[in-house]
Amino acid sequence: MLRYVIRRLLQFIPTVLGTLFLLHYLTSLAIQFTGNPVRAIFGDRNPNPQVLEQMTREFGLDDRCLTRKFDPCFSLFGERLNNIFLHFDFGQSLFPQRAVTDILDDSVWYTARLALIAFLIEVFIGLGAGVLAGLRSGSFADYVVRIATVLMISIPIFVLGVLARQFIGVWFGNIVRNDWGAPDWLGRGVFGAAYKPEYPWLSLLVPGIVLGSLTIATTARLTRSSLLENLRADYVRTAKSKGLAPKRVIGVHTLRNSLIPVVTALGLSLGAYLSGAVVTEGIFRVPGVGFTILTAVTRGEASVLLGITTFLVLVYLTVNLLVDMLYAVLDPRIRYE
Amino acid sequence: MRGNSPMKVAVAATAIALFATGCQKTETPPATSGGGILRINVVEPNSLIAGTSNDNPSIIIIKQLYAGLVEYDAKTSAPKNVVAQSIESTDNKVWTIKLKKGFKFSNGEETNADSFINAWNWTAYGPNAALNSEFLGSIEGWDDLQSEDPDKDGPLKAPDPKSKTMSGLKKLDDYSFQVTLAKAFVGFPAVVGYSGFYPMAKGCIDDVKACKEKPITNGRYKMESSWKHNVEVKLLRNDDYPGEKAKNGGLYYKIYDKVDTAYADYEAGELDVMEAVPPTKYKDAKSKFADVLFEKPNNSFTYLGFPLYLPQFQNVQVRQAISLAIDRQTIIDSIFDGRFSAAQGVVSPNFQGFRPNICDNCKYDPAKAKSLLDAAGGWKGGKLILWGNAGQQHEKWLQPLGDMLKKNLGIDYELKVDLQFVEYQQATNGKKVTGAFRLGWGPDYPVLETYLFPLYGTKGSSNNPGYSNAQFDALVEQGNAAKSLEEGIKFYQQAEDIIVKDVPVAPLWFGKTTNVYSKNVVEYKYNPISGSEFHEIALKG
Repeated sequence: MLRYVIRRLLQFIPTVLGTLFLLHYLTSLAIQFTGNPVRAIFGDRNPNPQVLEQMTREFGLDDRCLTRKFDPCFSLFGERLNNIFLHFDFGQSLFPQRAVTDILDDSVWYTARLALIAFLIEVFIGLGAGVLAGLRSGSFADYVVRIATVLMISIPIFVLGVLARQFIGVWFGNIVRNDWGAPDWLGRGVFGAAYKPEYPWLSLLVPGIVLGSLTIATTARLTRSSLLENLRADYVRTAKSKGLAPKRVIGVHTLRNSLIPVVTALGLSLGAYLSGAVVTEGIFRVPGVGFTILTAVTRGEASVLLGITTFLVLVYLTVNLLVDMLYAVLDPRIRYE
Repeated sequence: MRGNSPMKVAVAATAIALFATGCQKTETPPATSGGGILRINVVEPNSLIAGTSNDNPSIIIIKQLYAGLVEYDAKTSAPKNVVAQSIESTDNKVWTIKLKKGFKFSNGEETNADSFINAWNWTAYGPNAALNSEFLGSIEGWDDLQSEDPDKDGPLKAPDPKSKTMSGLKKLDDYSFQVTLAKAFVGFPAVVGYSGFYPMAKGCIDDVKACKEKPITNGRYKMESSWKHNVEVKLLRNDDYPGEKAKNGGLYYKIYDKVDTAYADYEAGELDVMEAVPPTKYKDAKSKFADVLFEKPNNSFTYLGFPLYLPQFQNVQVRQAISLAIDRQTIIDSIFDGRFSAAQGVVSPNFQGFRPNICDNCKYDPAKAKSLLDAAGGWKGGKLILWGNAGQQHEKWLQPLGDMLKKNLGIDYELKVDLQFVEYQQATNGKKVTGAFRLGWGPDYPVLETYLFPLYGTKGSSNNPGYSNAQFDALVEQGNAAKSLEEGIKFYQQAEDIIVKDVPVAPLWFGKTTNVYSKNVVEYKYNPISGSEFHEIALKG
């Protein structure tokens, strides 16, 4: 197992390097084709060419390779790698001027909180509903879960998010705040329309539910079908006829096997929360990683993109490794060499 | 682990309870000095150091944090002295500025002549990459603070600029200094009201990095704590301010990336002033919040430029015909819900010297348009290509505009809205446009000249049509050299008359500010030049 883990960790290196180069090439292409992003800071007025040139130099975008289309800009790449691995310097954003490491440090915590809330909701409600539906297959509870999950999967997240904000945050929230005179943490925190720094966890509850809505539904369905499949398996019949208590049969044996595909989905969804959440963060004004990526893309900020994507690649790789290792715990038949 | 086992429910409940109680408020409300906190929405600013920001969100906050030489009167738009005691000149070229005493920075420093001289030199110094550097270009000696890369993007490093101080700035004593402009300009006392000319403390220049997060300020408000990026900027009233103090206890700028989210928060009671109601919510706001809705034409100008370097646009009658064939009000009403105001000239309706209805060619007169076009010999340009930059949905109004031209003048058209802004600007600046192009303009200071020279002067920085008229240039120069602003305005008005007759661009419309405020506000105050007057807005209770 240890050799397997070390091998996987070594595989991180070419993956990260490859991603870095791909991103570097894409962002350089973008600048080569659409022009100097520093120019956009000046808006409608034409900047003095000297000022523009000086600013471009300040931001490290004055390499001549950025004017030649399709040039892979190896020297610029080498410079970037040097800065990243030797000085831990990912460069600066254009607008406002901040070190990329600062930006990442700031935004990661918002997304981490949001992701944690969404993840916990996904685990408890998603798993819970799935197990309930799987065990009581054909009952009323099962139908409720099945229909609810279909609805949640079919409504796009940006619709769900805006509806949640308007109905829960604004309409219902106003009733809670004004008509019922609820305490501040309930009225403004839980039922607020956007993230508030005064309530860093409470105001992320509704966004967390919205973010997790898609994965709650898929987790529930996956758990349900996985459980149903395992309940019909031979070993369950054997265990029951052996005389084991139903609680033990289901609780220990069946669930453990049903969880393998679910754990994969949970792991991937955690990675998705940390990186994506662009829509949810925009709707609820959470200045997290997704939001930062979106602004970086719109403004053509290569350094920010490189820095954040490197971080996300590492997150994904680590989560995948952990998920794979978890299989060995869940299923004794799986062993890694 | 089974279904809804009591264990799972208990754990979940405990977790939520822990969140609710343990992680509630991490901040107590700021200690206000009485007067309440005004909550306002804003987009993430670029920087809170005056010399480095030319974007609106930064300027909104900077204006409250710093006191400059002058600010603008809400009714007349004329400059009125703040830190300046007098700004005088005999020839409009050499200005003597005397300062009042008593304005202190938040680190204890006095605001004196050095604060301004050092700030302006710092902003102008090329390697500091301050975005407002160009505004200091009107001062003699600015060129010496710029450096040019000798081999463009090659391996040689650009040399340091020749100087760190401009020769046109001379300190006379601690509270007065002299400014020598490169060219005479009667509007200089108005220009220095722009935030790019605000002072900087020595402590800020010594440690710019720290100053960016927690600026050292001398204005009506001071920073309550550091700037929380993408979340908020909190200001508290400065009770040591020698001038008129603010009427509320502080300003709480909440940062929203999307204006829709800001509007939702306003509806949820989280904002006292909501600036820039999103276009999609305009009708909603008009019906639900009519009594707290504020609307006024603002200074942002949109025009359709004509590339005068292409033969088909060189006949003035052709240009007049096109301008007369556009029914601006119909487009504004149907596409924009009436949120803009049709242009009556090329200068802002809020500026001193604005005259209504002086642009005959801005009116809608299809018959006159057709006869002018016929007199010019008809349209010889083939398909008229209408340019707009991508991503702003300009097609929505360029299309009906093109349809009007087709109906009234028989000119066939095509839209070109695929270029992103940077490329688009490169095409318009570089005179590579193949048809009429949409562009916008905003003023830098409340003098008519800012709408005239940069856009239509032969050496204007944003003269994208490539217009050159010696008479126009001469009138602007005469205005610049006039004895007083009132006299200068007379010349500028004559210059404007030339433009509306010659139409190197077809003036389209001026924007409209649409803000809503909450019931907590006693009275909403607005300055047509500088925007909402937050320091004048008092809160109830």
